[in-house]
Amino acid sequence: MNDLKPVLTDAKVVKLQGVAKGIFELLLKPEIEMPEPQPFQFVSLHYGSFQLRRPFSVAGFKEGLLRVVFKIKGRMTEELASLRIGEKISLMGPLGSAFDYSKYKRVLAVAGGIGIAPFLYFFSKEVNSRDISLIYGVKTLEEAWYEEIFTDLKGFLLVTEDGSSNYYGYPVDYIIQVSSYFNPDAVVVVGPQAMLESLIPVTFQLNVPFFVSLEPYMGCSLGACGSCLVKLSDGTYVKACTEGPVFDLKRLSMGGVQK
Amino acid sequence: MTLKLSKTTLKSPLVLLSGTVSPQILSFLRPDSIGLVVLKTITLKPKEPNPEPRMWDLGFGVLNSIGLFNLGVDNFISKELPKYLELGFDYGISISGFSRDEFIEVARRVSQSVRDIENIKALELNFSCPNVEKGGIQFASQPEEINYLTSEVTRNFNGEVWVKISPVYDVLEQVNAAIDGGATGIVVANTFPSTAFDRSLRNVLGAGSGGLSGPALLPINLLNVKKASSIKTLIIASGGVDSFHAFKSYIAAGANLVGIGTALFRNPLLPEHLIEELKSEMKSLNVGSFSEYLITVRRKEEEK
Ligand SMILES: Cc1cc2nc3c(=O)[nH]c(=O)nc-3n(C[C@H](O)[C@H](O)[C@H](O)COP(=O)(O)OP(=O)(O)OC[C@H]3O[C@@H](n4cnc5c(N)ncnc54)[C@H](O)[C@@H]3O)c2cc1C
Ligand SMILES: Cc1cc2nc3c(=O)[nH]c(=O)nc-3n(C[C@H](O)[C@H](O)[C@H](O)COP(=O)(O)O)c2cc1C
Ligand code: FES
Repeated sequence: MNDLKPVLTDAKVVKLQGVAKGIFELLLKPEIEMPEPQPFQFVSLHYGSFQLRRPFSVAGFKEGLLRVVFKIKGRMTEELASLRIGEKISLMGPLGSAFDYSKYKRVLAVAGGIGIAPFLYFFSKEVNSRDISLIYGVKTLEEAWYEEIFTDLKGFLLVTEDGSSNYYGYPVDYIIQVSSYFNPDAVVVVGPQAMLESLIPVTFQLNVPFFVSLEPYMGCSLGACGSCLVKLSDGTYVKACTEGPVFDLKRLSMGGVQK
Repeated sequence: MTLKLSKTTLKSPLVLLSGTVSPQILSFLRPDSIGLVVLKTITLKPKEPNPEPRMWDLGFGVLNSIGLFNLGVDNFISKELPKYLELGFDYGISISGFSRDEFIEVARRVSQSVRDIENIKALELNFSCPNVEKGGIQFASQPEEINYLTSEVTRNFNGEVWVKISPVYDVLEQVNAAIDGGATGIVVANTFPSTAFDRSLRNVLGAGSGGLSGPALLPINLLNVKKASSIKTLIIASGGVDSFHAFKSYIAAGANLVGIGTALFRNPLLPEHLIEELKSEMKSLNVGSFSEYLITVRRKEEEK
């Protein structure tokens, strides 16, 4: 667990804009200053008449402003997409443990869909301190967007399921190929459950550590409810909200990445 | 604020309910604001969680099917409890079992190891658990089991022994069985068994069903508290408290202490806000103690 106690505060909507089909960028100004998050940590938001908060990756943090990038998935994300500038929502964070990637100098980032969100913050902090290459997969070109910072990466591949970009298929299909010339010393994967499962065969072909960010349903994000329990390879369980969300894939039992 | 119970004193009328607390949540709170923190129910052996998803936000309530996931009594005592004790709150230990023997053994091990720990004020007996010796029906549906087990536990434990009843079965039968067995308080009540489907009509919980908590449970357990209050005993309300109005409603219905669970997930600071409101209301009513406050609120309820 992150040693810093998270803050719980109202935050003002500074900016909300659509960046791709069904995907929005939200900039928030917390009323109480939030400690600087580490890449891959997350925050939880609450807006509207819901009982539970919802977890979202930190997609950026600069001069006290928090950036979240979200996809409309259900009820609260629908409401978040209709927020107005100046409106207030409840913010708690930073949450989760910091992922210690300090010893990896050549990181292959693999993002599926909205899984790009935590990488945006990671890139902004780390692009000058290590070599990073990105494989970014989406269903169709309309769901992808381009960020300036991608040009500073060592490599960038956009993969689409419908072949609307030059690379057709799933991002995991390209890990071996890209690794053959990029030679990563770690692979970090963020994406939907099915993508994490499809990763397993690839890990047998590539002798580098694989890290995955898990997104189980999180009821509290504070280690209390047990909705996010993840099974480890030794048969014990940990809470993804406090010990994760990023795990070395080796630590997880297959059950941990299966639905 | 001090509240005198039959076996101990508490610092506040607020109880944090079993299964909804963590050290991270407690880090938002001051020990003086909380009467008792009831920890997650423990059983004799470690228990696996139910399949995912284990939780669902209905908007008007929450479903959970965490199950009795826990590390087992021995790991709890050696690994988990010490971390909580460092934080300076007063605690209740919630126990359960799948048979009479298991129940009694968990109670025995806990009673023995917490005997000299001043911050452990209560045992809570969670009877919403299947009795494998009786074909898997819940202990809560069998007053004779409640009675037998409560008297076994109270014989060996000196502090408060609270019985948490189920909202599904007859309230008075459960309360009478518990009090007759020596219980010093009744937690009214646990979650209500329920289910829900998502937009594509799939079950929202991996286990197929779970327990309903949050605001949807409030009107149900408010009536249960009212029923239980016809018997003279300490009543701890549980279900859907997320505002001062909800807190006061339970007091008016006959509760002596009020539990908070699900609402902590959205706002871990809620207990601090409730205590502030309570203090300022006690001041404006010009009452000096919480017991005086209870009388005042209930008198107002009767006058209506
Ligand atoms: C650590 C973490 C980081 C995340 N980062 C992002 C991000 O940066 N951008 C983004 O768009 N999404 C992210 N998500 C997913 C996001 O939390 C869900 O899409 C969101 O909660 C959906 O809320 P809803 O009310 O719109 O959906 P609902 O109507 O409640 O449900 C629709 C679906 O959303 C999922 N979901 C709902 N509530 C939760 C919850 N509390 N926890 C996890 N999943 C849930 C469920 O699978 C459900 O089937 C992240 C999840 C986790 C656990
Ligand atoms: C995630 C979760 C886990 C729970 N675990 C337990 C438990 O282990 N033992 C128990 O007696 N009650 C458990 N409960 C029930 C609560 O203690 C409480 O009685 C109930 O949720 C109603 O109160 P609330 O609406 O304020 O949450 C749990 C509730 C939730 C939401
Ligand atoms: S989300 Fe509640 S324990 Fe992790």
